[in-house]
Amino acid sequence: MIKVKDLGKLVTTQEGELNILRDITFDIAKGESVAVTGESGSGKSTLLSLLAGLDQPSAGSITIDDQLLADLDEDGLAAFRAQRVGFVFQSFHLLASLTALENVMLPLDLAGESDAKQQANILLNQVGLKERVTHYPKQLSGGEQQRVAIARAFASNPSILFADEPTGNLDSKTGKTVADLLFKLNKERETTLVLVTHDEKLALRCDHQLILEAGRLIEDKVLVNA
Amino acid sequence: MPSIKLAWKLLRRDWAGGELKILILALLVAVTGVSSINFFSERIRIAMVEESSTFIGADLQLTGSRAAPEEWVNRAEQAGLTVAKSVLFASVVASDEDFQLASVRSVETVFPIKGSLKLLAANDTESQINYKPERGEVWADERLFKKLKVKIGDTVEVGVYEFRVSGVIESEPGRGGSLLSFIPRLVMNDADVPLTEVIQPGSRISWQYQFAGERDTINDYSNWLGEQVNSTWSVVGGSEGVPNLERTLNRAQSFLSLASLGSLLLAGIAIAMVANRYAEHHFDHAALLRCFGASQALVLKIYAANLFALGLLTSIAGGVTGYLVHLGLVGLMQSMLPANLPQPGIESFFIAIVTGLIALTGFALPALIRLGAVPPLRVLRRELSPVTLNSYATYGLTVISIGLIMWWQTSDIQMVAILLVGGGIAGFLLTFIARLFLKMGLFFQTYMTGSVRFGFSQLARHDKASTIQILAFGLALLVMMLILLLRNDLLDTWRSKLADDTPNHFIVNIEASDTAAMETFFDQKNIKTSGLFPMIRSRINLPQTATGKVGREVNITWSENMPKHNKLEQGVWSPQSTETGLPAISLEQSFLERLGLNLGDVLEFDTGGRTYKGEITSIRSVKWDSFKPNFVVMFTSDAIKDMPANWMTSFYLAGEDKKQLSGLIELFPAVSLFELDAIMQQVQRIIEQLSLAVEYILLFVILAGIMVLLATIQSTMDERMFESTVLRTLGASKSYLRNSLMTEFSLLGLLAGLMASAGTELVAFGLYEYAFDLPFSLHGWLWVAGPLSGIIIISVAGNMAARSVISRPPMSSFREIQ
Repeated sequence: MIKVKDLGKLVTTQEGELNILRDITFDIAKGESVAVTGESGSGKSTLLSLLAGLDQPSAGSITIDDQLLADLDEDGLAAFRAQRVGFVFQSFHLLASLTALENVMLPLDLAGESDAKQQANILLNQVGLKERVTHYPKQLSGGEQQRVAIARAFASNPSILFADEPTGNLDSKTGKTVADLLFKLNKERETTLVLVTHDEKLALRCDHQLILEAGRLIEDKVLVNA
Repeated sequence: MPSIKLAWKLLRRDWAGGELKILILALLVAVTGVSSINFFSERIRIAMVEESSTFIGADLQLTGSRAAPEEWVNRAEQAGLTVAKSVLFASVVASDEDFQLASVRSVETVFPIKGSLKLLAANDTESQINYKPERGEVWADERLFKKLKVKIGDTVEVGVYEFRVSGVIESEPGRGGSLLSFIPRLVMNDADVPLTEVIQPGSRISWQYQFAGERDTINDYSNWLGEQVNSTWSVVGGSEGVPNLERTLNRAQSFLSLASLGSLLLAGIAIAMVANRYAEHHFDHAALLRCFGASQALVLKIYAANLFALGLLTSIAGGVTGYLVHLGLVGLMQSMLPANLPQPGIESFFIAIVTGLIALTGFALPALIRLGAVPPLRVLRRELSPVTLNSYATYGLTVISIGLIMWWQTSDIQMVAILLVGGGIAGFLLTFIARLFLKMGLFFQTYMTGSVRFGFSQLARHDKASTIQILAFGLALLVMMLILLLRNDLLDTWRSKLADDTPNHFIVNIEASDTAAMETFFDQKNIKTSGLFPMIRSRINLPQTATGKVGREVNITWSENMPKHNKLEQGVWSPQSTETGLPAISLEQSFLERLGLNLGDVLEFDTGGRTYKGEITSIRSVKWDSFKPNFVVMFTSDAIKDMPANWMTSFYLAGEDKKQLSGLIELFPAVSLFELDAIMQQVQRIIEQLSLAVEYILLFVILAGIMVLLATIQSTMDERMFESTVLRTLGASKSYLRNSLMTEFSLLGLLAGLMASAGTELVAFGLYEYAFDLPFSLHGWLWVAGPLSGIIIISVAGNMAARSVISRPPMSSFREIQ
């Protein structure tokens, strides 16, 4: 369902042109979970931003559900993200001025859903934060904040979930709880998961692992979970 | 509309978070300032224009120095108009206790013809009337009652006849507030006038005709009348209001408008600063919304809706506070305003709201537009910010919105252009001066140590914000102090410049037959006068070579000797006739220059239909502020001694000798006596009231200045927080931080105050030397008041706004910074 062919990203810096990604080709099947790993600066986040339609590639193509992303303009990409994509970030990216419930309602409000509040309540219940719905981000621990972010990511019922270092800001115990939750919801909802991580243990929980090095895909391996 | 719902939710939360507080306060100050002036002006406008028929007491009013030809009145009556006639003249009114010059209106039929006179009669019954007093009775202003120490039912003398006072005039159409009428009013029945023997040949009298009727008939008659009258008549139509009163109030309004626009401009700067910081703080929000699939247009729509809602709510509140503030303004100026000002319409309230929305759009939208341009990729790469808007576009939008509001307020595109261009140039120059002051202040930095030095360096680091502060506060304080200075100093300086024996009384309407007796009276009482001069009202026909025009009748005189207080500049003063056989005349220099006349020119005069000529043989300069009888045209012989004239003189009388005046009034009941010191006191009261009103509005300029201060502090808050956290982690005490803040704000206040003091002295110097021709000396109190008020205002407001920098524990600041 995700087809990436000869993907490249070139940026111009003061020192000259820099290839952040080059000749990347892979496929991801529907419902599959894929870990993108590699050293810092290997191009993981850039790959994620291209797959999510947040940035434009310099070469190659990305096709998601038979839709070529290059054919979409800014508004088309926005609509694509609204309908198909969910995000979980390393630093949670919750709006400090909104409560946990309102943060989860945000993508539903944007989509014009009439029962946003009800749906958000169900999701917060699923991530175990039923008692904290009226709390603001600063009143929640890091793990709780990431659970709110996970609830928010699933709120729009996306077919693909992009997670950028979802446990990167958490201690190992909390990180594991959050990861358990992420994989559980992912499985229940049959979402395709693309997960960028440094954490080898987390990567090993996926079906597939893409290893990047200096902008190149050096290994595309199937893991035992598949 | 999901975007509206979301915008509303975000707005509520932003409000709760307090970040928009300063933006809202600044907008509130701006809208309150502008709308209070709007409400005030609107009420005067309605009174002047829409209700002017009741305002002047008629649809059309004709005033002249002689009775109108019968044909004019007949024509009006034949056209179906109602006509009412009054005669106006000045006369001294006396009681057993005291006497006072009054402006007498004798009513032939009814007055006013439209609207009504508000009268308080015996047994305290108040009534709105339009008829005339019974024979033998008069109505008078409250001021006259007080001065003469009489009550309703008592008798007063007008000329040689005694009248019973039967009512207190509370308000009269066309007269404005009591403070603007220098001479109190007395109304009597026209049939009683001859009994007073006040009106003599040559007396100064005005005939007033009021007309009322159908609008078209009035228009036709007004057009016809316009063709009949010459410059000695004044025709005031319904839409023209009362010219003098209108002019006075218009000037006051323009000044107030200017002050309120000043507060709008300052508040605008504060709004722009807060909006910029708000936008920067919301880049992450906008990126997240884009990441969740909101289009660029939707993000913009959300924040624009947010802005609109904010602007609307704040402007409504500003309209309400503006209304309350304008009540204070009306209260301050009450004695200058017409009684019973009509209430402003609901439009004034809408104008306040639209002003707020335009101001917010102009000042805040440029910053918010950037939110729509935030790239969604920022969620992964925080360093990505939207491109900064072209600064020309930003400033352009701001200038356009200020221009629009000014245009709307003043309806004078030329004045707006002058203000914008002039304001731009002045802003440029003043910024340069403010920077110079800042540099001077910072020069001392090297001599400081510890927290004080850190305070100095803070000021240097935020030099742009510091310059704006010095400019904003400096200017507001400058205008405040200048008004205070003019109010307290100008009249005193002018008075002290006058010699001690400068005449303080004028007598006019002296009959020719009384002049000898009057001279004897003054000799006996040992009162030195400036000499008695005849006054002959005359129209002047100029030779064709003249370049100017004389649009009214002038008072001319004759004397064989040149008055001692005049100076011969050119030609010869001679009582002899000229070679052409014409009597010689002498002209005042500036009058002659204005009309483009020369020695040898012949002028033709017309006094009540009798014409005569004179040839210019001399040019004099006249000291107008000598308070002695001065004339622009003097015949230097007695060639015109048979013309109807009334005589005048002036003299000095100290306060304790004033009782001699009652003897004078008894002997000469028909004369009009003006007490200049009473008029001067009234001028002083007018100046005081006007300056109070202007200072009241200037408070908003100061408030807007405080908003700029708060906004600049807020815009540097993140940086300040970070620095204080680092300093406190490194061991700096709270008192170190407090001292550095105190130094920073006190220094800012000191520099703004010094700039204001220097500016005030400079403007005052210009005014004294060039406009008023008065001796100038430095004002010590200015150099204390300016810096002191600057330091107090800025350090109190600044320390309050920045107190969280000191009070917040370093750990919580760290968390916030992260």
